[in-house]
Amino acid sequence: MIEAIHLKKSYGNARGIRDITFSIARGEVVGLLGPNGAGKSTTIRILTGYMPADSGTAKIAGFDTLTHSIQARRHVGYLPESVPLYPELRVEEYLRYRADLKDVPRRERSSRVDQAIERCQLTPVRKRLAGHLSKGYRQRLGLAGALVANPPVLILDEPTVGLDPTQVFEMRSLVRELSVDRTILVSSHILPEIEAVCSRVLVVNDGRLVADDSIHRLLSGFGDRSRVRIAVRRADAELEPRLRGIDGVEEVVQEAGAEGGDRRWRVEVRAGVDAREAIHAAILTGGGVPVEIVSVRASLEEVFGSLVRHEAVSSASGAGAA
Amino acid sequence: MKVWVVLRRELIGHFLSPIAWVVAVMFAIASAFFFEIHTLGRTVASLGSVYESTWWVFIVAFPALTMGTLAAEFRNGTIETLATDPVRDGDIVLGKFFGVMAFFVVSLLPLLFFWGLLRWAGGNPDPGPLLSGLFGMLLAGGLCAAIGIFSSSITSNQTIAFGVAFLMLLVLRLSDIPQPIELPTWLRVTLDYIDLPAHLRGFYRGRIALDDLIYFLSSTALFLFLSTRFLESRRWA
Repeated sequence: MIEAIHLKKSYGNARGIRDITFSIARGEVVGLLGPNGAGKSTTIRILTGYMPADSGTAKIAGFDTLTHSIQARRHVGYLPESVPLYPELRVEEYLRYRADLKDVPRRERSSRVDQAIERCQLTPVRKRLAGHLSKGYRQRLGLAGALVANPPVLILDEPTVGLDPTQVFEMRSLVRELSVDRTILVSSHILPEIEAVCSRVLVVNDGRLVADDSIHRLLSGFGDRSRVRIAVRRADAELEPRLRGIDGVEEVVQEAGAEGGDRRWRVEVRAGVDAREAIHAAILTGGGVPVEIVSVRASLEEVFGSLVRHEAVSSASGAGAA
Repeated sequence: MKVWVVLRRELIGHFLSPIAWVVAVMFAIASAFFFEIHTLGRTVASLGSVYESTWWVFIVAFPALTMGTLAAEFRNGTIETLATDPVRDGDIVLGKFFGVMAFFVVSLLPLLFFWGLLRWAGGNPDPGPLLSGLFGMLLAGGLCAAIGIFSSSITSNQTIAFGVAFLMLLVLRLSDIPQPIELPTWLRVTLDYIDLPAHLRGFYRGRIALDDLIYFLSSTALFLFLSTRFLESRRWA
């Protein structure tokens, strides 16, 4: 439903996107993740037909966003990051206006507007001026505007920025609800955001796609390492070297947060190795008591940090080689 | 028709905007004032001088009416939803243009009242020049609106949009001002040709000339076309 093929866009300075290719199938909910300025909004603006790419092709529902712009736009509901609204229009008026712009047939218009109002829980404010809405309601009105023509594709740029935790939760469940019969691309620089609603993540950094995988695979396959956290009561001085000696253990790092007589370590283990039993034995050998042995998966933050660092290192070494 | 959709929202904006009402009142007061001193004062039953003087109101009024048309969409970011909905850039510009024109027509209504007053007081204005004069005002208004929308398309700052439109409209009036300096012939000829009030005079006298029509319609179309191109290219940057 959404296709980006070798998209490039430069703004004169370094910002922009360098080469982005991905494809999103019908019904997928995909997160577009990256630090601020990585090229998320640029990618989205090209996909929505707001601006053309310098080179490459973007397609929505099979329509090229440049050569068949109007048809492509008919299939997308877009919520820009800034959630632009007309302060002088009432909620209903705004949605009717958007419905008209989006070719909703006259006789379906009021039912579509009602549906969007209901879905985004705007009923209490439907007669209110957009300029007088709270941030949470503004965000929902923006989403309702994107939804009003019931498009098969939704593109949401940072939909929870500036919302309080309750509103963030509501926005997420709304997106999840909408994902049932739609293809959705959500951008964010906040990882839990993506983790909460998306099945697949595209990671962009510095104008390039650095990862494209399911969240599950991204987390489990990350860095060829798994990780075990341990807390030991009455640990002996030789514990750390013993842990290092275990087959498959690559790194042992003492962590802060010791309470009472307990000390904590993070043990990095080669992927595919379950070292928990050996760790347990190593602790007992020195007379310590293992109060915690927890296998932890990497958080998306760590994955992301590592991807971005990796990217920086490889481009630096590439520059050095050249 | 998308032009109509954009036009309707534009009209809501105008009728809710204090600036637009100030402009409408300016039109009314200026018309009334000039009507009094020119028409009643001289007891000549012609509205020609009213039209001519109203031109000076145009120079301020149209930049004020149009400065927000596109600049505000850029400033508020609403251009991003408008331009990604299935609407052509040309339809957006035309919708804005007809929105301004619709408001302009409403602000011209007091002139009809003055005409009625003139009839009631026993004057007998010739309906020919009156109608062709009104038609000329509409054409001139259209050109001013197109220039204003063009100025609004090149910036997201409404004050700058106002200033640019004001200066451009002032240039259209330069050749009517007595020149203390000798100008090169080509400049003089150009200024004479682009002089907007000069092209209006025929309409006031009841004469609709083809070259005047071409002057107004082609330049209006040109500025609307340029606005569309600027709207397009500013998104691309």
